[in-house]
Amino acid sequence: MERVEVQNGVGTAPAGVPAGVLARVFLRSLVLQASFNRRGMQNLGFAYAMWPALQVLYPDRAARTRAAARHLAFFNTHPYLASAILGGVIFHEERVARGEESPDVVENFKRALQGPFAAVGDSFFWLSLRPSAGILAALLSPWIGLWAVALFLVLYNVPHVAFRLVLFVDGYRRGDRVVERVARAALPKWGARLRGVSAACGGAAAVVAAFLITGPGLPVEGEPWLAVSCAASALVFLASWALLARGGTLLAAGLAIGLGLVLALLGAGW
Amino acid sequence: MIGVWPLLLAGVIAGLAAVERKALLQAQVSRPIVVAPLVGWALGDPLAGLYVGAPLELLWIGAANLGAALPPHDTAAAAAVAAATVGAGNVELPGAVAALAVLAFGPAALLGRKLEGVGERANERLVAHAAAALGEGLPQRAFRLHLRGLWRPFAATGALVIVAGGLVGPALGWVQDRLPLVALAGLEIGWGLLWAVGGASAVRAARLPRGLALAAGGAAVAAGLWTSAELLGWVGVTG
Repeated sequence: MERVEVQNGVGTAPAGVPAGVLARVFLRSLVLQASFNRRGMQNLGFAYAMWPALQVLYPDRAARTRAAARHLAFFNTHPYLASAILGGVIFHEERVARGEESPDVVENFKRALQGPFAAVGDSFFWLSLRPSAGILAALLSPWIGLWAVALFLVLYNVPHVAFRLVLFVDGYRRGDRVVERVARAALPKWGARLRGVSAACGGAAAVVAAFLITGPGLPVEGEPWLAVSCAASALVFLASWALLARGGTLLAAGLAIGLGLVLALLGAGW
Repeated sequence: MIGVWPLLLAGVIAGLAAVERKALLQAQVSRPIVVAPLVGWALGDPLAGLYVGAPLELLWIGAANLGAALPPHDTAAAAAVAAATVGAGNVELPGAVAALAVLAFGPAALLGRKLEGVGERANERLVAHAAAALGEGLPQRAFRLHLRGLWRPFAATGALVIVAGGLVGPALGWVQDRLPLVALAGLEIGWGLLWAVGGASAVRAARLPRGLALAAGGAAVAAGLWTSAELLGWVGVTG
């Protein structure tokens, strides 16, 4: 590996971080949140992920420890988009180690990107892609069985893993310009479309409920019961929609089970 | 009655899923639609796990860890409900037992959230120790501390699932044997209606101004497909 003299008198540093070390940083980023905490959030995880790169970049023990301590500052972003920041931080740390940049550049880079990337990642992955993949798989599960599990994992993880890998490499290669790659992906636009799919599937789930409670083994059958089951499903859907605005998931579930008991009692006396 | 080894395997799977939920990878193996069939598989009935996991996926579909806000612990609750349902043994109306299991373990989602908060506060001490170790020039020791945060969710969720499958499940089987048929039918209907709760949860999670209109459209399409399938004699449910 090519080594260059650094300007700050701490020995020699390599011109770049080897691919194997980059791979180790990426793998360590998968446990970014192992010590997630209220005060520093992902800070120790970030320093843990960076450590193999810092070992290469700072041959001097004291300089390496100082660099690791810098990464214990508050850090919190979306765990997948953190890979872009990690790649970009290695890009900058190489320059810091060579004396071409001040450590403040690294700090400013992390500080500038963590908030916006958290917002973009939370909105797309947690609130759009995951719910849409989940509801599609759940809706199909009565018909495709255990394939629904595979369907969910593929629908979710193909974009997830691709984003993590591509952004890490792009962050490392292009530094601050990784922002352009994230912007080009147009995640807010795709997120809005996926949320539309989730909402439409939500209505379909209410129909599945009506379908399931007209099945065999229940006290009454026939057209009157079909009308009752459709009405019950619509009622539970609308009541839950109102209750969930106040976070009452378990209350809504209790309501559904309670209504089921009432319907069975009514059906028994039908 | 489920044997010790399948119970331990289910506990390990659920524990790993709880770790995966936030601390490791986050490939969503921890979601109810995945973890419940996995726990069911460990206990000998993956389809029963899926039967439980699909509506629970919808119930907690909008649960997301945004910043410092902690969502209900859907993984612990879904794994425990699946373990208890399978642990109840072969029953005629599985939805009835699943509904009882939801009543028993639904609150585990809230308890899990509380414990997660406790774990995060404990992690603050780990970070303080790590900073001190770095100050002493011992970075390897500092970074070993990072991985110590993994054991708490593993142990808590694993233990919950073992209790659910080994103790609560058989108890639910005993209860359902003694319930009148009308109560069992009511619980079965209630279980089916959980899908409607889940549908509403999905519309809420979408956070769109026209969410209800889209849901109405989705319901119309699904009802049309259902009617067509019935006319063609295609209606059938796996498991």
